[in-house]
Amino acid sequence: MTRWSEGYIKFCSALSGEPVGVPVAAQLQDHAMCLTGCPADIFFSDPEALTEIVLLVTEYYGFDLPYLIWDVYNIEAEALGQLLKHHPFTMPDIDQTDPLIKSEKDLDKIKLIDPKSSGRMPMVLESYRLYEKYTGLVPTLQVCGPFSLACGIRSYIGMINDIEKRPKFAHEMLKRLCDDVLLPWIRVQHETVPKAKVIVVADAWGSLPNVDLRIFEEFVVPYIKRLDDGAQQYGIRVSGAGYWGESCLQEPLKLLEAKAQISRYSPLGLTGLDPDVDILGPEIFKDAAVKYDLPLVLGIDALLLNNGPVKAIIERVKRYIKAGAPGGRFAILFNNIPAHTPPRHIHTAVEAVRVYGKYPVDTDLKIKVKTPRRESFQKFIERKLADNPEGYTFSWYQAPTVSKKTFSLS
Amino acid sequence: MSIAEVKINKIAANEIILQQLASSVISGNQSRVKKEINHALHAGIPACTILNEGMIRGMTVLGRMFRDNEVYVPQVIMAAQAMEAGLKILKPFLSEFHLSYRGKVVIGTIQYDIHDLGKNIVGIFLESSGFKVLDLGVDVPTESFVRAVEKERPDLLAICAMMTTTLPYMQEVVEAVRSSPAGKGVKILVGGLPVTPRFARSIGADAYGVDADSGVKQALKLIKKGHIGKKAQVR
Repeated sequence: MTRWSEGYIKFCSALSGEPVGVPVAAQLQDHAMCLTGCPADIFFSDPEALTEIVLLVTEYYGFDLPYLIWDVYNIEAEALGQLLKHHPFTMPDIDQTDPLIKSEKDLDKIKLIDPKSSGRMPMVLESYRLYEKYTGLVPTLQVCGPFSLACGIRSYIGMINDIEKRPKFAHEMLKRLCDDVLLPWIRVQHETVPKAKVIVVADAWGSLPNVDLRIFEEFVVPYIKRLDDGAQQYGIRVSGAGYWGESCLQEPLKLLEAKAQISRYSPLGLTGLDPDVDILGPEIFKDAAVKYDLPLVLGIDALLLNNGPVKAIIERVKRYIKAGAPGGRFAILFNNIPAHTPPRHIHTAVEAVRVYGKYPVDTDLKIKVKTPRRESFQKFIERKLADNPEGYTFSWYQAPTVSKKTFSLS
Repeated sequence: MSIAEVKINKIAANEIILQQLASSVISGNQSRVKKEINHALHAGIPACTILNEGMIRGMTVLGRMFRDNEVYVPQVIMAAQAMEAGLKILKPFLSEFHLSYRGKVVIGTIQYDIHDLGKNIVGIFLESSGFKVLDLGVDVPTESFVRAVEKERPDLLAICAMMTTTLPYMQEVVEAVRSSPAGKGVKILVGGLPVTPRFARSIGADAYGVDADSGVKQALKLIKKGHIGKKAQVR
């Protein structure tokens, strides 16, 4: 048993029924990098830095489960030779002005890669290993979705032009990305973490309004299914994730239905992310999850967490729990906490989940939530350095280039 | 047929041509846009009328459709490309004034931020609203914004940021532009996912656009305040 076992059990019971409380997790790599003052070049290339920082920051805020994620849209593109732009304090990003696939002649650049040595793929594999070692849990395997990868190596505008003017070429590119890049990569990931049963395919470029429903159904969904068909031979299922845009549709249920199809193997089930949930109301997402017999995860607005005020954060958490928690099979996600989010906003949001998310859920939810008093992150990290029960290397902390100035955020 | 009737028929025929052109811009059909512009020119329709009542009319309708979620980014991209292809044919018949009667805009995404989609969409709708748009691209250093303002003397500077980590550079750009001699009178419009009205005010921007539609509205509002509109009025 590790400190995370309890959270894991809570998550599992929440997603399959009614647990003791609504679990909460967060995608927090930007914020974690900022809070520790770790430069982006270390954070996104050193598996010890990535894994240990994510685990430490997750523990600091009291999230139930650590969500290990890197710059998931870049890994495969970079391994193929796509140029990335690196900056000191932000996540690396694909240079959309200089795509790898400039014309149809470049299609052969989509070559079978060696995932054990290409780009930062070894970093991903090592991060999985470290996550297992430190937490005792099976990490969530992740790859970039075929459509998002195509937007990365062809540029988004290039991909849209292909879809409209050269649809056969667009389909050919997506097929090659599935068969020659993503499936071999999924196989190696599964060999590294054989206990994993599902791989999450992050595919946010395939969201509305980046695409319309026709493009989603013709160029996004079929390639998630193609990956799923191919991955079954390795004993793993594929689940599409990261799609939003229900509020862009007159009939949001159409997108929810498509999402339900391609995310049915994810333990997280159906996800609804802000601003869609805020605009449409959480009830429509809960109804869809019940209809398709899936767990529901609702994501709280990253900018609301960043900007506050605290009262509005508490109200948002309360509103989502009130609609999502009854009957169980429900969790809260803080999707992509911005780098400079004040820690007291996050502490308060977690506290709100704890207070309002106790089962049986009180439908009145009249209890008031206050910002809890917590030790500063600096004190926390000093304590962890002294105790270090997990046996973290803290190699990143000792690096002379690491700036401690952002600790003042606490 | 009387002369008056002939004139009325011609006006009606021209209106049909312009409507078809607007519709082809909306559907992003490049070849039809090119064909209809040539058709309009042969019919003797003035180039500025073709621009305003054909192409810009189409983009204005498209802008409303985009705001109302009737079309999405792919349709905007295709329409912008059709507009660009049409302008290549039309430009020799137009004066500089017709292409920039609202004023000149310098637009760019701030340093360390390489998100260009939102900025491009705002640029497309500003251009189709009568602004001359000079796009500095993405990951634009502060000094490049200042240099562009000094060289181009724009009426409006539009700055985009898509990441919270890069927001401080937006403030840096506003301060640097304001402290340069050429930048004192430039109106500054800011936008992008993490930008809020409060943040925009706190860094001294003149306006904030929550999306492309509001960005263009804010730009037009700044003109109405009299600062930018001078050139157009003089002409």
